[in-house]
Amino acid sequence: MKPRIVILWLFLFGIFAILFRVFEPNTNQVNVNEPEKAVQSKVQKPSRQIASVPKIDLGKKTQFEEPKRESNPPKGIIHGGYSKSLFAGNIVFSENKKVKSSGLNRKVTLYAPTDRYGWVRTEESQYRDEKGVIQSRVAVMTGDQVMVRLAEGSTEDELEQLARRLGAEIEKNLTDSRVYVLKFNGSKPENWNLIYSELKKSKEVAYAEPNYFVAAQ
Amino acid sequence: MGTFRGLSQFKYYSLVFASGVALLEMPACKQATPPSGLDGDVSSVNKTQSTNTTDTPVTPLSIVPAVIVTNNLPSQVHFVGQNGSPPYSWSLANGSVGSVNANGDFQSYTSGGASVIVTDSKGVTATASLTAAVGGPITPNDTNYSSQVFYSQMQSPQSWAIKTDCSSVGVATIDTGADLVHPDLSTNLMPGYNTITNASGGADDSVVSHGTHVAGLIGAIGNSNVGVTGECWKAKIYPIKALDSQGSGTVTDVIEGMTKAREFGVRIINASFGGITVFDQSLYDAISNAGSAGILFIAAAGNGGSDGIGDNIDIHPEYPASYGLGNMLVVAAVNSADQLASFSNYGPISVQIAAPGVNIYSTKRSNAYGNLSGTSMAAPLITGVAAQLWAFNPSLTLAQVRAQIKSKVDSSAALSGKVETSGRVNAAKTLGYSP
Repeated sequence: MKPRIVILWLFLFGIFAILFRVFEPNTNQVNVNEPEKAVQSKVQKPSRQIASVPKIDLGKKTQFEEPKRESNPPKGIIHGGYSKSLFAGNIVFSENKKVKSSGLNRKVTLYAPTDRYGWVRTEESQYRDEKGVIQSRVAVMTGDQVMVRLAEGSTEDELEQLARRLGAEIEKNLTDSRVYVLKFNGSKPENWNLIYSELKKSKEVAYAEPNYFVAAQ
Repeated sequence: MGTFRGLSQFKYYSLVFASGVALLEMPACKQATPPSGLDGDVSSVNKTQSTNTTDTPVTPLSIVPAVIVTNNLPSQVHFVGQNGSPPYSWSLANGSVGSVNANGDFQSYTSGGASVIVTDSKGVTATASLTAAVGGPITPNDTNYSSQVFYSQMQSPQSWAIKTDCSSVGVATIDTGADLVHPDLSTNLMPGYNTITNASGGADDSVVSHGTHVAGLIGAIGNSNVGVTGECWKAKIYPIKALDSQGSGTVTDVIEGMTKAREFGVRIINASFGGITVFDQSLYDAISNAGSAGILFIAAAGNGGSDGIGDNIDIHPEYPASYGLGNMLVVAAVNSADQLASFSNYGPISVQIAAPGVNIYSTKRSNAYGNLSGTSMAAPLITGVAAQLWAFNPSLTLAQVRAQIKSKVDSSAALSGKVETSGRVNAAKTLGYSP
């Protein structure tokens, strides 16, 4: 029995030793939650450092040092962007797709109309900036309108018939050009896609494009 | 050859000739004789041999400022020909104010320049654009002018010694409108238009007074003992409201606004808006058509994306700033140290020039004043300078105005690689001021 006990003790000791080795605190480990300590640690023992990686926030520019802002955005207007009230309506449709080629996201959102605005549609696309950081850009457009330019030789009557067939109507003609605004019931998001793609294919139309929003800068 | 009859108390700084235009800078009375090489240098006078088919030497055309100097501005210019007589016929270019009497004196030359076409007895014609470099900087007496330090940065006080009245040049602002009854603006505002409601007017209802602020930078009434001044002390601004009270608007409303601007006969459109991240053909066509009508389109470079930090719009385009059309001047914003503002978009292809755009003091709604920052504020300062230049020399083409503004910037290392000219606008140099 004694040798067995000795062997058992040796076995247990060995396991303990292994465990002790494994759980020995690594004083060179970087604590990502305390970057300043990590930097100090870096200075003291550079040979065993693990590089800290800046956290990437989707849709927000991440920089090592954010440039100083000269001023605050004017109230009511999102600096460099659009009025918040544009997006004040309920979201009635939202679709997030991953673009196969890049792995980045593309998001389409349709907002119900507010008192001030009609339907508002946003198309948000991600991209990588020069530093490889993921950014996003938003195209904001009316959710129930499409702009079209008549093709050479086509008439307003033909466009009117086409629009009616697609469940839309001519809202207005922009003076001195052959550009028209078509309006339709925007409560169904598929309407926009359908009418937009059908118009683009139509021979009566030179081009079709959304009616984008612009913003004061 | 004929002589350039310089009066002893005048110095002739330079003769610049370009594309059929002779630019003669006439400074205030300071120095003695003209620099050598200019006196009688016929070859440097721009002229057109219109009827003379013989080999006889052409008669020189020269311009001499008269003795009379009022308030440091030459009030009279005298054209002289061979033997001191005025053997020319005279006509004034479109838009030039003044007259030429029997002695060859061009009169009413009270502030700035004029284009005079002269023809000699042999049928040689020349167009002379008179540019006066006069006096020192002029400080307006507007009570809050001291808050507008950005004007000194871009040497506007020197430019005001040359031209302050831009009312001969129509300017449209496509914005949130303007406060039509603001006492510091009203007489410089024309009846505008609201493309959102399709009604005349153009009153500003915006939360931040965006359009009123922009209009004030172009043409708040100057030297009026009240409030602030615009780059133009007298102006003809058509406020076109295409952006709503929150600063948003649709491309269709903007295009309608541009059509209205053309109907108003403006030469410049100020576009302190942006934010379209997808190429928009209709807006492109509208701006291009405006160019065909001779309209200069001055656009803000934009204030960066959703994070408010400026982007390179050559790489990540933002419209209308990134269209790259030949009738556009796209403006980035700098701070008081000529550093690119952190929020300002940039791009050495898309963006031509910079102007002050940080903490800019101007008019606000309801007889108020205040600071705003943005490329929206930088653009109208360029618009004001363009209106000044065009008022000063009405015969300049769109391309010449654009080129002149671009070529007379103050270079800044911080803007190298950020904007095409690597510089910030200098109003005085643009108008030909010689210190």
